[in-house]
Amino acid sequence: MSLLEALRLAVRRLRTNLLRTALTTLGVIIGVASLVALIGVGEGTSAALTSQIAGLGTNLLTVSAGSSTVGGLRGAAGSASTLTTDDASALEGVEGVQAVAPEMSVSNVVLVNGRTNTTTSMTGTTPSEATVRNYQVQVGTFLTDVDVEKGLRVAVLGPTTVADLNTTPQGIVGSTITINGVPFTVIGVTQPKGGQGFNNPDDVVFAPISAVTSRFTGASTLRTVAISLDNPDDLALVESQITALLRQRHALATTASDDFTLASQDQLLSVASTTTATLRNFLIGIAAIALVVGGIGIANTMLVSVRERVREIGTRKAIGARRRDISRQFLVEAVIVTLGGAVIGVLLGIALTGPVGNAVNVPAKPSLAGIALAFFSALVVGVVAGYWPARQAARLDPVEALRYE
Amino acid sequence: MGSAASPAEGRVPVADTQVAPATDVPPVTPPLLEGRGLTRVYSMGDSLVEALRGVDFRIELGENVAIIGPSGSGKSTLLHILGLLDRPSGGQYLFAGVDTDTLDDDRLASLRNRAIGFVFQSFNLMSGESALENVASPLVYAGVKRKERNDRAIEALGRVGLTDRLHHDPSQLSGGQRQRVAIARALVTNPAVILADEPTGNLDSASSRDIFDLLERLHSEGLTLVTITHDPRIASRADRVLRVEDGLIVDSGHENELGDLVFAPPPGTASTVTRTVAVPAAPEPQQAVQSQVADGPSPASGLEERA
Repeated sequence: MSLLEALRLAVRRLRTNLLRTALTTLGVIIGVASLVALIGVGEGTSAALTSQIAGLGTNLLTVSAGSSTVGGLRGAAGSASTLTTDDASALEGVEGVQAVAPEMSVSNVVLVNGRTNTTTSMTGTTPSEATVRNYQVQVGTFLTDVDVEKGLRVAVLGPTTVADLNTTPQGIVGSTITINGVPFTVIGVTQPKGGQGFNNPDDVVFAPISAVTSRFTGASTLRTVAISLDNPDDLALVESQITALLRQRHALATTASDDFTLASQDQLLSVASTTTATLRNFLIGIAAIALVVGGIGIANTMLVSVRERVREIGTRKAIGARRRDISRQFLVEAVIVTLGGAVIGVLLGIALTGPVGNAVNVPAKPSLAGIALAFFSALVVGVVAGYWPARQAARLDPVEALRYE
Repeated sequence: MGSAASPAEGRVPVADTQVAPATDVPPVTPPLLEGRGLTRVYSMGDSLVEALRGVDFRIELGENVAIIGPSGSGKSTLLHILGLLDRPSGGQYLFAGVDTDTLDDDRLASLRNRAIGFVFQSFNLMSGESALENVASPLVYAGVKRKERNDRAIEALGRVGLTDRLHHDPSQLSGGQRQRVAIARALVTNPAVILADEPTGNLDSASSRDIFDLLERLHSEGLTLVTITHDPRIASRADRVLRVEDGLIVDSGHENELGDLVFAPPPGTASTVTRTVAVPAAPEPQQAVQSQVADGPSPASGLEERA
């Protein structure tokens, strides 16, 4: 029997049991659609996270102050006052360093603009911050050297902060707000970088480091220093030079451990990609379970179908069907169901990827690799699920089969 | 079947050497079906059941043979072996002179497809397929193209008088009509022999008469017919009756012992038929069958090469 004949026969058989066919196919549709949609969500999460990290500044290296140990109790990183503005200035001289931005953080500052207010964290820094952390200004200007030199009370806000104050970038630049009661003039608003939640790069206030020192912290110790490199390939070399310089400046004995920590974007990226890969595999695993259940549904339906058609199989053998004709007939049925289910499932999955992504707040879009994976695993499932029933049908003894009631 | 192959086309050179004894010496042709000491033993749980206990028979081309016997006598087992659905446990079964023990399952399937037509008591039509599709289904396994399949199925339905029921589902047909569809299906490949298992067992008497008139007419047109039956009227019209009891053939008389009791013997006999076949069967059915056995998928009986 040719493949075409097997197809004709299978299609007719599937049509006569339309409801059963539809329900069997539904199992595959759900499996494939969830594979496509969940892979889309996984890829979307991964892409969004990667672009956010890249948006935080490329070639970025951060130096954090080490933790202080008081009476045997080790504090959080940055709690020691080991990093100073002088350290930051000294780091500018290291070869391969493009720019250095000292960062003095004040958390939970209250901004008041007329009748509205919001709480965020403030960073005292220098104009280099824009270069190092990759900030663009959409309205107004960023901090200038003059602002830092004179300790002017000026501030640059992130777009989320502006929105939290119920105003627009155009509306707020030039006006005066208070930060913890101290009046500051808003001179610029940064471009959105895209990000949510904790450590949102768009929910920030930048002010000259000198102003922050004099008005808020009173000391010149830093939590972090952000450094950008001329060439990311020099990372290891620059790291070792910075380490040597800081150890020398802090007069550490050779046996003492560093009182600061170096972290590169590379490390962050690799942590992020490991995390998203885990997430993606987890989602694929869930969807694969759905697909396997769909496959079991096919196998079950096919077994029932073989049982129902024992006499027919006996008759077909009597009129000349060989084993492979019989097994092909059943296998083709299983493959048609999975193929049909896979096609519908892929379309449904593509349609669902966006809404599912929205529901979990991730910019998801269906990926070609995910579609291909879903489609071919469905085919494999179909062939595997159809193989055993088909083999059973083909091996029926014709005499027994003809006698079967 | 107008398109049936001529003997010259049907015979492939290889066939001459492989079945040399049969073809080189024309007067001595083997019987179409021959059993030599056939046994068939089943295991039922821990006990063995001897369905056949050493059966010998010869059925010639063109014969009309009835197999009778009580239930459980082994006649169904015999028919299954005759039809190559089952293999004997011992002894030899020769189909057109070829020991079937030497043939693999695929070759047996091919022979069932091309050389044997089955008619069952309960018709065994495929529901959901029209009469035409049912009749054409053996040709699907023979690799015949759709157009030719339909033409030949229509012709076969014509031979059983059902040209007006081509597109009916079996469920829309009467019992007698269903059995006629089944007979058309058995005829469509132009087989050497039709094996019928209680063909009138599920029919009322009017339909039964219809069916055995039809079978008889087909026999008179040259068909070899082997029928298992309880129906004395069918048995009485056969050329010969094999009586099976307890796994043995107790009577295979060449005279029809029942003939005198019920009806006069039918007009066609084996010897006249083989010489007068012109229309339905292949011109030289014996040779056609032999080359089928020897070559398997060959165009010997007018069937196309398997796709």
